[in-house]
Amino acid sequence: MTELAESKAKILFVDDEPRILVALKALFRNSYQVFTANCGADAVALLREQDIDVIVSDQRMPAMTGVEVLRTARELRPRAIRVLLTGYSDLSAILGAINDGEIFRFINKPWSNNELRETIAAAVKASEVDVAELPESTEPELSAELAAEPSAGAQPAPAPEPAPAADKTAESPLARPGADVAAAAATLRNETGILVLDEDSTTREVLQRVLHKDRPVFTAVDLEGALEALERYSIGVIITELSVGGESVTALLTALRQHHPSLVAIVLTSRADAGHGIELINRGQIYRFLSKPISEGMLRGSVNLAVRRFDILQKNPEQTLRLAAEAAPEPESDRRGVFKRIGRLFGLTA
Amino acid sequence: MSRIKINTGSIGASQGTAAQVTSASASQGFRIERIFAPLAIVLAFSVLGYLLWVTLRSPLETGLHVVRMEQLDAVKNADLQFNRAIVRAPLQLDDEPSALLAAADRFDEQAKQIAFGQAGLRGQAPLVDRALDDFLRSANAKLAQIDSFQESLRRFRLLFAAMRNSGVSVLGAPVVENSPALRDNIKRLLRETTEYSIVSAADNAERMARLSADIAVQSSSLKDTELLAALSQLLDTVDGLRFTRDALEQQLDDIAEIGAAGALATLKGRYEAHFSQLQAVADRNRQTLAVYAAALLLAFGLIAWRLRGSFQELDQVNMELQDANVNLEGIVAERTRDLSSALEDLRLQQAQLIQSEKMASLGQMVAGVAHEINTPLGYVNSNVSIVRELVASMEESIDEESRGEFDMLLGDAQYGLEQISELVMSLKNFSRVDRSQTELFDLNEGIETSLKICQSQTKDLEVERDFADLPDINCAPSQLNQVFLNLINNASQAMAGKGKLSISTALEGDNAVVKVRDTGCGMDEDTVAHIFEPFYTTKPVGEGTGLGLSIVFRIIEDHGGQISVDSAPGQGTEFRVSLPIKGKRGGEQSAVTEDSIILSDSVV
Repeated sequence: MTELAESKAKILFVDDEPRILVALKALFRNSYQVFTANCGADAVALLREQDIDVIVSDQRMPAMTGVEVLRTARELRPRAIRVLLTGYSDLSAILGAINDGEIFRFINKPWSNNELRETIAAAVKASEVDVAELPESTEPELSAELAAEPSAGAQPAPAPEPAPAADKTAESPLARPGADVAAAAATLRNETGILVLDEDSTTREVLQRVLHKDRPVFTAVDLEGALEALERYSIGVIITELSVGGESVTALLTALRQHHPSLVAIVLTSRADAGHGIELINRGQIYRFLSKPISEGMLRGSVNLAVRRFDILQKNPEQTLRLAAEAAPEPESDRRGVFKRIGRLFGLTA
Repeated sequence: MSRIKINTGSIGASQGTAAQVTSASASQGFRIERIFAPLAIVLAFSVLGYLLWVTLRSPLETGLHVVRMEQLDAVKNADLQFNRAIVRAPLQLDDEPSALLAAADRFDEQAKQIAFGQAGLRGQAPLVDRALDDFLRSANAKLAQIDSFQESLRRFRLLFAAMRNSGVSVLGAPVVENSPALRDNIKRLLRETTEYSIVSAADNAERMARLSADIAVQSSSLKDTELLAALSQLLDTVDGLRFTRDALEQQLDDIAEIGAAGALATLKGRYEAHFSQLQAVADRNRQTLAVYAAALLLAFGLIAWRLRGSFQELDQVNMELQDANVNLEGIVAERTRDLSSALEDLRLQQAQLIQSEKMASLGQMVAGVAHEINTPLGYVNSNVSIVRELVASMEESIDEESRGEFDMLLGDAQYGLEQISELVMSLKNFSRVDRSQTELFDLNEGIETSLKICQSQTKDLEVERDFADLPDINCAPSQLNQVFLNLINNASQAMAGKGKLSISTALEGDNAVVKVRDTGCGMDEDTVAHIFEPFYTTKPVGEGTGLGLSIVFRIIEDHGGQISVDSAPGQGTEFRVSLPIKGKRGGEQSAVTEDSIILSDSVV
């Protein structure tokens, strides 16, 4: 290997169809050091040997699915950026890829060469930032636990005892549901807040009841309310439905990703669907995609992980580069100037 | 586990047998009851009949009894009178004892009457019969005695007359007139004799004997033979009279000894005893009969009371039955209606089942096809674009013309590949296998997808789109895609490959309206009326299931929308689908429960 080859980013393609690998190699061999694997086992072997920067895997493969490969990759090479490239995948595969694989992008076959080049380039750029070690030692345990969970996320997990923040229970404000959030005490500004954005009052109340023991919970029924809460309080994690007030939250999440990259997004919906999942990961880099009903332990575990991730992102702002989302197409319908407002808000504050 | 099963099984079996036994015993009891009831009635009536027979068999002849008692009294009277006549008979020294004869006759007659008359005593009872025989025997004996008594009486009367004549003649004799002692003796003798004849006292007889002896002594001194003869005749007559008188006494005693009165009294006593016995038996029978009849009456009353209850129940049931009969028609009609609606539901469900099964298999197929096609599409497309880039960069080795040709050919190849991938995408979008059941959906996009799927059918048709700017509506996209596919399919089939298919969307108030119009053969009223019914089809057998439009109807209804059809033969057909923009879910969202959001750990 030449010096040049050494400096090139290492990309691993995994697919059970050799012709795909041939085509991809042909496409990328000039720009990157390309590794290919015909199956999951080969990919794992390669991952052990090589410090891979980007791994691109098919989903439907015999013996080991793409999600499993990516999950293994996440353990073996946490720095590697993970991309799923597949012709078809069902909802559970997509949920697994998001929640277990923590993938960077989801690409449909057949792909456009130019778009794929851009995506791989973005992935390589993201991989340049090494993943920051989580400050708490509980992380492996939690991630292992989450890894053990089925990808759909609907199955329960033993409730992980929330990390040390539990002693603040008494001070936690009971935020009123509605557009105007609860009057949060100024003393809580330093604590990571959670914003629940959902039209359904029952969901808001239930989430608030479940989560407010650990940290302040704010609620909003629409995008305006959410923005107001984001302006006024220190919020690290947003838990949202897929659509609010007849509008998809994807645009909001995309805008937030661009202007407030450390904000961690969890989508909790009763209408999980593959198309939305792809869109949310590619454009919003959401952290978790959960479907209702969800077990309390699963929810709390996810929220705790999200809060920890927010802490990491806060402390290591360069980490947000690892989460770069696709450049949003110009919001075709920026109703009420919401997104301009986001830009203004976080352009100034973040 | 299996043991438990066995146990429950055996319990079940034993319960079964127990039930059988009870039912058997119940039916047996029922049979016994059925036999017992008439038996009891027959028994009750036969007992009643027997009692009646016993009571009526020997009717108490009270009238006869009175007559008999009168007869007995009459016999007794006759006997008394007879006895008196007998006693008096010797006193009548002058003429025939007619009273005695009359009394004898009457006694005889009465005795016969009581023995053989209509109200006779014979045949009543053995004891009575025997007493009657005794009485009759004594009566006959008495009557028989009367004859000899009468004979003695007649002789006594003759002797008495002779005595009186000879006494008068003796007393008229001069000698006697001269001898006062003798005369006195004779007179005394005559007086004593007369007295004896009437009274028959013992001292009279002594005195007569003494006087006779005195007279004999006194007459012995007399010499008058004529007088002596007359005197001895007188004395003889007196003796004879005395003797006859004694014989009469003897006969009277004999008659008295026969004891007819005693026999009669015995007879009466026996008869009365017999009658009172009969009376007692009859009384007892009557009493028994009365008690039994009362008991029977009570029983019948009870039965009647119970029957009345039963009849009331029967009446009520009957009335209900009549009511039911009257209402039967209505009930039958209602049942029929229920049944037909159930049938309709069933058919609909069946249709839905078939449809959902179809969609599920389509989804699976699409999932497989999409993956299998997309993989080669992926590398072919990639390779073609790489080659195209390469060709474009090969300026030296290939001439301009060929390069242009290659580029064009590769461009066409890429176009074809795009078409293929679009079709696969459409299939995926159409089946929505990887999408949620309900979501915000662009109807225009759905119609486009459906048109793409139907491309083979619509390629010869003129397709006109008039899409308004619609908001996304809350719906089940895969189902609505089915609706559009069905409508487009039907339209293209109605036009048989020639005509114009117009699809328009519009916003009307809170509803999104989709119109699918064709210029095909159209439908008559009858067809229009049935068009949304499941399994109704105008296509030849085997070509259509007749499910399409019923499914469409059901889907639109589930979405809270409406579908209508406007058609006439030869004029083409227009389907108009109206869907609420907010979706039906808008109302349901408030029904979200905590369970649908969070499963508590304890539950899981």
